[in-house]
Amino acid sequence: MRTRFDAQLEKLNNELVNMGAMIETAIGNAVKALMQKDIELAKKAISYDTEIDHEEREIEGECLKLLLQQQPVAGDLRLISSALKMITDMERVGDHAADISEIVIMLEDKPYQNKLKQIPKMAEETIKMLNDCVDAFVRKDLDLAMDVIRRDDIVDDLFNVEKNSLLSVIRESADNGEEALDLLMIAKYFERIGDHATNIAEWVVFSITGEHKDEKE
Amino acid sequence: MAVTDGVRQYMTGAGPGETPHGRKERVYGSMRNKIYWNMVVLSVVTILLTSVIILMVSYHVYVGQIQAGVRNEAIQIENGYRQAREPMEYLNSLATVGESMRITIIAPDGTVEYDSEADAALMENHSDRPEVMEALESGYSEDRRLSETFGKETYYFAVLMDNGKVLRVSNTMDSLAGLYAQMMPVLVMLSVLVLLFALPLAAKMTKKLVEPLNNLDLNNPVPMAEYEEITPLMKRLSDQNRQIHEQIALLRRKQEEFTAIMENMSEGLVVLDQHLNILSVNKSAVRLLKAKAGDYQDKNLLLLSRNLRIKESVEYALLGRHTDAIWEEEELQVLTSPVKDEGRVKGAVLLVLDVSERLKAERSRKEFSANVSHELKTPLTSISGFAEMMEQGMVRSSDMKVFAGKIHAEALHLIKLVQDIIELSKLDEGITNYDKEQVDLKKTARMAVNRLALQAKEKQITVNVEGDSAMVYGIPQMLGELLYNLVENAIKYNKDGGSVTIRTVPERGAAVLSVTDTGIGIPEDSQERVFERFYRVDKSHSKKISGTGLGLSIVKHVAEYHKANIELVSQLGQGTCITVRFPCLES
Repeated sequence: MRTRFDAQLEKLNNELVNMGAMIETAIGNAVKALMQKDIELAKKAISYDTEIDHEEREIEGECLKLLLQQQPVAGDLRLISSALKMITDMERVGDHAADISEIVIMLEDKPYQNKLKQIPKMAEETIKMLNDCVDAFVRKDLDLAMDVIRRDDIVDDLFNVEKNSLLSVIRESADNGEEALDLLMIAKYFERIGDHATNIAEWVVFSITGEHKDEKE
Repeated sequence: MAVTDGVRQYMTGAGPGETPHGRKERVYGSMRNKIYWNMVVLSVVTILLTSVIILMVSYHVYVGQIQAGVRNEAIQIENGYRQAREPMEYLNSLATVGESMRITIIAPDGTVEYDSEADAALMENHSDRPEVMEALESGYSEDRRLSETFGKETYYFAVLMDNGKVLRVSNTMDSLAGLYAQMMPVLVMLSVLVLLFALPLAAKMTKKLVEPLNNLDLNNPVPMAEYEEITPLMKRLSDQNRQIHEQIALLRRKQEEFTAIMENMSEGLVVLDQHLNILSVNKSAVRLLKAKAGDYQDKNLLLLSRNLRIKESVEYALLGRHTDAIWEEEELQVLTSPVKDEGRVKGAVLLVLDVSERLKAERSRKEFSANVSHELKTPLTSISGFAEMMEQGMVRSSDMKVFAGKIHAEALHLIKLVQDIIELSKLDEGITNYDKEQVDLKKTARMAVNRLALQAKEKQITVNVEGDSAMVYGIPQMLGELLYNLVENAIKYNKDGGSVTIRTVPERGAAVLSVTDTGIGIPEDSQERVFERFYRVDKSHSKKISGTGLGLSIVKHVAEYHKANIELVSQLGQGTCITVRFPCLES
């Protein structure tokens, strides 16, 4: 009975890593689509969202089944409950990847690329955060998870810089207003993805230590 | 892998009664218990059988003695009775003496005349008693009858006396069952005593019997002194032990060979089962997939690489298909193949190759063709333009010569370009029609200088050839081409009135050639790239100095062909020095 439970836990673990890989791919595609104006890739990132949603349902079912049938305690219970929370954040990241891709499609015939400014840096930073929080989960690496939580400020700062520079773009010429707003949305999505990565990292910390990061401070 | 599993199962040494998979097996009784209980049963059976036989034998003796006693008594009483004057008194005296036997006198008609224990008058007629009837006929008789009382038996002996009366003497004795009942307490006592003695003895003996077996060293079986019956078993065991050791050693060697091959190959290799679990993975795979170093055995593929394209490829392979893809971004070629056993897919093999070199070569090939077309097109366009003007009669006859000269110059440039390209592709192929021979670099340098004397004169450049003759084992035409290109560059990119110095120095069997000019020099960021095909420092196509951009590329190729090193030292506005170091003649 116990070995079956262990196998189920391992399966859950693998499914979570799989979902992590899916959101990494989705956001990677979205960023590439944004940088290279690749509409096909943008469409691919949008279609990925459905798969990510499906994976979320699957993992959710798996977790509930484990809770009901095995009545886990201690570390196992923490893993399952944090998995339940983590997938919500992961699913939101998938949504944002799709949102960014939609804007890329909308901006198809606008030469926005040289106006991106801080956005490539934000994209790079958030992708790294996502990679690291999934890595932290895979390796149960507490330090790495803490590091991801700290790095959220970098993305937040970048967002503020971007917001101000877009504000001045609008001030200069109202014609660019619509485009600037779209770019602001993209920047906001990246900032949100950073937040979700932070959340995931916090759940990784919880699953390892049983404590919430905020409680300790 | 199957091989690994085999070894691992030997290694884990699962405990008795437990298979390597943790399943409980039926537990067999110990030999010790079996022997012990057999001994106990044996002792109990022995006790019971012995007592039964002893009882039967002693009962037989007991009955015989009682019967003999009764018979003797009867004969004596008969005698006494016959001789006694007062027979009745004699009988009564016997009774008072305390005779234990019962004496009865029966008249020929069956009337009881005397009985020592009952009143004769009250007794019924005895004529129907078998012993009486028989005694009347044949003189004497005996009979045994079970009396009503359980466990007692009566023995009768009857004698026909002279007076025609029958004397019957009888005695009661215990029956067999009765005797048993009487003996039972003794028997039980005896059994308990024997068992009390036998049980510890049995335990001790069992232990002694089993001990040598328990003390067997199964890892090192030697024939036993105690039991020769075990010897064939031990011999077999020792043979099998040896075989197993040999097989383990063989397996281990194979495993080590496999690991060595896997670890030393530059290609990444991953073997997976059908659940995407990694059965084995080599270092190259970990490096090429940019995973963190660690143990990935028995882990899921996703933990090695979260690149979903890899997972996809492996999943394709698990459906029984081969995949082969080149990922330009990662500079990897990824191949997957299914592993089949009896027609069913049991896993997949993933092979990862580093194709960065290949992609680079491909890119430079593409670049080369694009460049060649461009370089060929420019002079051809000029020629076509001039020719068209002449054709249309737009050129005055006095200018005809000038135009023809221009066409000629462009054509010469084209020829040079084509020659260079042919030379380069020859070098690319690595095949030449020439044979290697001893070549004097100094002589070759002089020849190159002579060919370029006119160009040098035009720019008033002094060309010096210095140093001793240095011998190189190589292809003279190619080395001539190398020197020609070096010297040509040194003149072309020189200032008017400058100088070019060619030095050839023999150095312990090797040769060093250097060409130094006092020219315009090469900017630092271009120094790396001047050996590339069609690379020209002056990118504006104004072409102040004509050239194909292939000269140094040819130099590089010739040097590579001769296994020589090229060093470039240059300072902008000061000049350039290119040194070519040829290896020893022998090599």
